[in-house]
Amino acid sequence: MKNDVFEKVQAIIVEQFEKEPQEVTPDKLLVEDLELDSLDMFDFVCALEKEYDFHFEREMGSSVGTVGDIVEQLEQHLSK
Amino acid sequence: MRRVVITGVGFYSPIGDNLTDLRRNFEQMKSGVRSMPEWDKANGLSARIAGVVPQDDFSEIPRQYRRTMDRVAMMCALSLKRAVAQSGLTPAEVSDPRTGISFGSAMGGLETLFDYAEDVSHNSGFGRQNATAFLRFMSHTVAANLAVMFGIIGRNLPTSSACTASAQAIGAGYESIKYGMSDVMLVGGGEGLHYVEAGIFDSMGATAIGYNDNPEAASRPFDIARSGLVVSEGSGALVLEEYEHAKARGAVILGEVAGYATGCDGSHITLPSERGMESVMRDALKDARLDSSSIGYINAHATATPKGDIFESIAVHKVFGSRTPISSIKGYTGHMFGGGGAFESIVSLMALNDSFLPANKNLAEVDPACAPLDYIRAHRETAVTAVMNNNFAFGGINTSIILKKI
Repeated sequence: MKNDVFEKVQAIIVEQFEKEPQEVTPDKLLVEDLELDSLDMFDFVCALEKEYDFHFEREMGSSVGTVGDIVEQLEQHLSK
Repeated sequence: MRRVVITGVGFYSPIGDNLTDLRRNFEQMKSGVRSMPEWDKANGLSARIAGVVPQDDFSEIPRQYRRTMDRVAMMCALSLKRAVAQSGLTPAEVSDPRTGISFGSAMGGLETLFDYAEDVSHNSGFGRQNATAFLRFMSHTVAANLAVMFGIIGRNLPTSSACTASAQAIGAGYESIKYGMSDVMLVGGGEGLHYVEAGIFDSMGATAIGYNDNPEAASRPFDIARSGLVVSEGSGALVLEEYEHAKARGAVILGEVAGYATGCDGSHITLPSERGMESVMRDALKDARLDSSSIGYINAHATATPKGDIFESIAVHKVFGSRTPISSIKGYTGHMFGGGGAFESIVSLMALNDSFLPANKNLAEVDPACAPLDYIRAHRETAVTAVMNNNFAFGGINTSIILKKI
């Protein structure tokens, strides 16, 4: 399950933000390492919401730090 | 008096994105209009033909700029990139406060707007929309995005006047330099193709019908068998520069923008006025301090609509009589809307520099209702020293641009 979520998140980042798969690892900071800015973060959240059919809290975009943080939040949601 | 010269051009069109291909297609009278089976999904659409730019790979534009660009902005961005490269301007000169930009389109990012409206209405509502959608479809999307990509900190004058959008952008740039507000202006415009445009003009009875099986013959300016315009897409970009500024840095000067005028009919929202057209041509000549006999070639707006071509020919006849060679290149390209003014100015510049006057394609028999003009039937290799490019738009907006050798 954990790997499934990570792979999906990784695929979204690779496709939407034109990153190489090997760049997108759980420890990577979305803003500092992957260089996503505020517009990118909104579009990223939007893509995740469509993929998993749920609604992120609006603050979420600013509270997450790493790819792993996103995966963790998604897993918590999916386990409910 | 500050003079304005052209030091770079770039474009995309259905008949080529470089001057060599453009000239060859004019010589061979080859059309960029084709059938559009992609539009089979468009219910009730009559005209299923269009002028298409064969370019879908815009990955040359870095993602941080491309993410907020619709097709129209991407074509304009790469056109401008080529124009700036040809001009030899350095990044520092492009980002100088005395360098500005003016770009326009008729529709903004129509494809994005259509998809956005469809998704909001039928699928996701407003809750799951990309933050970048508006930035791709807003009416000034081209000028805004290009200013960011090229680092423009001078004036930014977006235009949005349908078929005169990029002609007015050239005019805005010309006047900015002439009257001392800028030394360099990056100008132009474009349009991205979408079947909504075909549908819009279908509804007005303005598209070419009866040519779905013979698309290359559909766009027929001044011809008796014309039935309307063919929608198309493309872009044009020019680097305008104050003459002494260009000379001081040793730039190659391609020509001079000698005169420009814009005016309005103020009478009917769609029906053109020959008086308004005549007036804008006379004003441009006055601005250029040229007599009508100095103009060696007229690039007509002529979109092949039943009335527009007639009014335009009459207006030209009043100003020039019958002696000045004239052609509309929309027989090859269809109507590029917001991109037409800039692209056709580049074709006019080619006429000036290559002594090459393109012919009217599909002009088998001149409509007797059109005024007696020197309609170019086969391309000519004739030296000219000054040329005029005219464009006219809904709302009765008229433009006339005069280019001359320096």
